[in-house]
Amino acid sequence: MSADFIEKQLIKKAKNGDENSFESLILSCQGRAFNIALRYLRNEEDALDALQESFIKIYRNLNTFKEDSKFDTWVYRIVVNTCNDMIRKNNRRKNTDSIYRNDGEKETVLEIPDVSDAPEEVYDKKEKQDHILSCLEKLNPGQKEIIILRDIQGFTYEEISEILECSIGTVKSKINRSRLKLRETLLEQN
Amino acid sequence: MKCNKIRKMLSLYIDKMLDDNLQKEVEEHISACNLCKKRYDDIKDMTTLLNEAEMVPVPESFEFRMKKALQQERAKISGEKNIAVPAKKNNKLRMLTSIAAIFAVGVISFGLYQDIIGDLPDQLDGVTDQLSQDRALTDQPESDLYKSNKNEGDKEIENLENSAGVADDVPEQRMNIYGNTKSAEPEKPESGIAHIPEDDISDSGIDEGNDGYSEDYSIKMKMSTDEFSRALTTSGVERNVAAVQYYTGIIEERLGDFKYEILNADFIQAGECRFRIYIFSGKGYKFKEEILAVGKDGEIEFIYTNELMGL
Repeated sequence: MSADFIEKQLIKKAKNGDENSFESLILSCQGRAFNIALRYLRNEEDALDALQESFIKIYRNLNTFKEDSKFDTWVYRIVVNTCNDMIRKNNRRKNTDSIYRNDGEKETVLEIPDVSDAPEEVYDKKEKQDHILSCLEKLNPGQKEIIILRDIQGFTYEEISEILECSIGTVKSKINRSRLKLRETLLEQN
Repeated sequence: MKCNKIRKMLSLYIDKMLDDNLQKEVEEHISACNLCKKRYDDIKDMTTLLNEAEMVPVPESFEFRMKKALQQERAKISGEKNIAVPAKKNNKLRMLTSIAAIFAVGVISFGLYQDIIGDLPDQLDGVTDQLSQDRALTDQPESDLYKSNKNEGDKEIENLENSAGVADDVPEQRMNIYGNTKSAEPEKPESGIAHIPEDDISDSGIDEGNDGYSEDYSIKMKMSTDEFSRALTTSGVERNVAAVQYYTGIIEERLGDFKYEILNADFIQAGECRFRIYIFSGKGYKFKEEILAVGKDGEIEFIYTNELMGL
């Protein structure tokens, strides 16, 4: 039985009011959705709020999902839109619970355990990632968004075009411009 | 291929989104161009590092939080559904209540107005004082007189007539001024007043004169004070009630020596009020004469009157 078939069955049941099916559906994309929100909002509490709000929207509007696209792509689109709404409504940033911590002028990424590399390499890698992520915040929202979706979350061009509801050509040019801009920013910071 | 063109295709090259030929062309350029090679390396490292950024796990507490939120949402949706049905009923109920309220206000207003109008002529014309006098002069119980004063229609007139009839020396002309034949002794027929048969009333010159009226608020004959005022009110001429009362007071003063009856009151235009009046004489209050009283600027002018009436 294919994953697509199982997903369709779950969607069908969820549309008919089956709560367990709905919870199974959102559980399958919850982790990625949370990390998208976390990169957008840079705050765990805000990210969880965005995630909850998104899932409630999905629950309410499940019957409008036409199954033209994949369910998780539809979910991520809603998460992205919810995050953008939250950013527009509220630009405040709670630094206390942030995955980033202000250390003077410098922002550092919260420690994430990683045992795959040697400690020195881990530190070096984390430092570099931290630097890139702090530079990412200096890009405009559209550029930051496309880097999150493509380079952090690893969505394909097609998936991004569905999530952002734009053409593949737009995605291609946006990705290239955003990366070049991020590189420029990194060089300026160095 | 120029560096500028390669620059635009770098990301697509890194993501292997180019055609094989272009992919190969960019590869060759990068291997030959240090500037483009540096740019490519930077972007490649950058994207690799970002892609290797650790995924943050969703806090375990979120599962409970989400279940609770969904539970609340379900309750909210079912609540909305439950509310949605009676909401329509409420609208109907609200509409019915509104109609009932409007009706109740109308009835109460009419009742209050009726009470006010019922008392007004008495207050204006000093009948209250006379009734007090009547009460003192007659043996009738006070309650009867009081009742008669508040009763409507003929009952009121009868009581008033009775009280007036007993008290001979009380001026009776103020008792019933709106189209009610006085009960006192019939006035002596004035000599020279021509008798006009009742059949000829419709052909009188006064009727012809009424043809040009723009508004006709004709009031039926033999109305009580209340009925007269009410008729005007329900005809939408509340504003004219005060004028009618004022002018009928003057008519009463002028025709106090005659037995008369106001047939109707017509409003031609603002400020002008015409009264058709029958003058009676002889036993059985036989119709004698029809006159027209025109009230304007606070004055009453009688027309179509016999000169001998001295009006």
